[in-house]
Amino acid sequence: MEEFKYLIPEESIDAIMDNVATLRTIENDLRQVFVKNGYLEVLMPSFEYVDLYNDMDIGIEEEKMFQYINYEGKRVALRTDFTVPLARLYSSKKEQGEKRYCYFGKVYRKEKRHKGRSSEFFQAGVELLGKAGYEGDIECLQVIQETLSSLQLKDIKIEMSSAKFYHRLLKLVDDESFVDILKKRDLSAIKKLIEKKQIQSPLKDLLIQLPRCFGDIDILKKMIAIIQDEELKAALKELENLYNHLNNKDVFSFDLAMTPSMKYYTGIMIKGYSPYSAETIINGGRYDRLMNHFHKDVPAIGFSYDLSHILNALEKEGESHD
Amino acid sequence: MIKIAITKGRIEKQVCQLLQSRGYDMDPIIHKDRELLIETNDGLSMIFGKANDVLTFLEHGIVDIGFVGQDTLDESDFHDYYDMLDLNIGKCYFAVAAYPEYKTKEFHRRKRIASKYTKVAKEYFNSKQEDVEIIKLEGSVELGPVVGLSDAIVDIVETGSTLKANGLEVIEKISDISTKMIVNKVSLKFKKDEIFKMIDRLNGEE
Repeated sequence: MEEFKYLIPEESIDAIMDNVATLRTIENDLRQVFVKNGYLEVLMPSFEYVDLYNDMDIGIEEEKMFQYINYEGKRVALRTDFTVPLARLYSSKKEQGEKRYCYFGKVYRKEKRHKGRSSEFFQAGVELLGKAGYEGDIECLQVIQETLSSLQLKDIKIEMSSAKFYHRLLKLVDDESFVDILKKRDLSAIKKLIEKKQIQSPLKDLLIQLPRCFGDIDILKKMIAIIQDEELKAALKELENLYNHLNNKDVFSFDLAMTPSMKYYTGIMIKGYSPYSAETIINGGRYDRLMNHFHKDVPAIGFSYDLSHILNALEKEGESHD
Repeated sequence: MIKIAITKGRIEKQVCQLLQSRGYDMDPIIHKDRELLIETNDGLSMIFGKANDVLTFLEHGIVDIGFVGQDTLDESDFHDYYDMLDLNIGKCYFAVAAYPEYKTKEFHRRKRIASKYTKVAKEYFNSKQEDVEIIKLEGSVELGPVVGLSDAIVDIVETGSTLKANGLEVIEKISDISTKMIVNKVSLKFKKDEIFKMIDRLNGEE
């Protein structure tokens, strides 16, 4: 066993040495913006019941959790995300009305071996509970906008979409396979589906265009003009209205083919990209029904920053300028 | 500049022919020697690798586009990419194959299934609610039944001639396979026009 003195398990991330200062600077800058906007920093526990995650059926695969059986015979997992435990916190503290939480810490998700991925990530983020609709959405977007310079990355893109649009679309298409087809933007499969289900225009035209329906405000305006279904149109108009109230418009764009990365999204969905990261660096959305699991009717919205991906992107961006 | 990874071998040949027929200059590829990275005159940077590695390169954002068989996608645990185009080449299918008596034979134990594609095999038998034992073989999977290691195999069938030559036959078809164009999710956001231009050309819509 002599060699174990020198090794770390494959799940670990390497000790961060060179980038600690950068990571802490980013965290501090984010914290300042969050606190200034009234968000209370919460230090969350590292252990949660597996059943908390499972009962919510939010799409975190069980095999990705680090689990053990505790003295009660119950399964306990290392924290795999912050949103669910914060929803639990809100509920268990019998909170009411608006609450603003922010957090910094690691989440743990098992990754496949030998894929160049580690199983622990630094995250930061906010959750805004109890503030519905437009007011909550615009507040969150404005916070994101304020934090962008803290991330130190150039060429960040923030994409917005709407889970209302997505769910309405699923209803209109009414085919089980469509979820995966859209997730994969499978142009060939869309054509086959249209034939199979004899889908007619205008839905047919929309489906054919959908995989390339992303880009700046012009795409959104164009689609609002073309789409006839009232619910779809309304969902897009909500996005347009939000956009009109943002200052730093250049970084914002739209992706109508976006699929919810978490099952519980009900309204606006947000994703942030850097050309130097193969994965999204910001993720979030409105989740008005999550609190129903706690028998409460509380609207909520939140988003998180994947600081590990951001650090990697910063490093790559630096190299590309050398 | 779009970066592309292509599965070496048959897929490489077929994809390069297709690209050439759609007006891409493939001369640097056709006349390549042993280089693993080649830039074409159309501003494509191409690397050639094993099927699973094409996926790994795409996962890490090393390449924007990958050309790879559906069989590789089905067997992989990584799914976070766009699977945008079925090129309708390299067509074949996954199937269960065995000696003809497999169909009527009664088993009083778990069946043993040999396959290179253990995930595909497992999912197929799960969907049939059949509990089987899966044994991984790396190649010439037909040997499984021939040498008596397994009762059946799950493998790719193209013409079926290898099966036939060994007295085996297709028991049931599982799913279709063809060559796919997959795209890194972030690349699509930052190189939209270039990537869709290629898609449209491959689709014959330009």
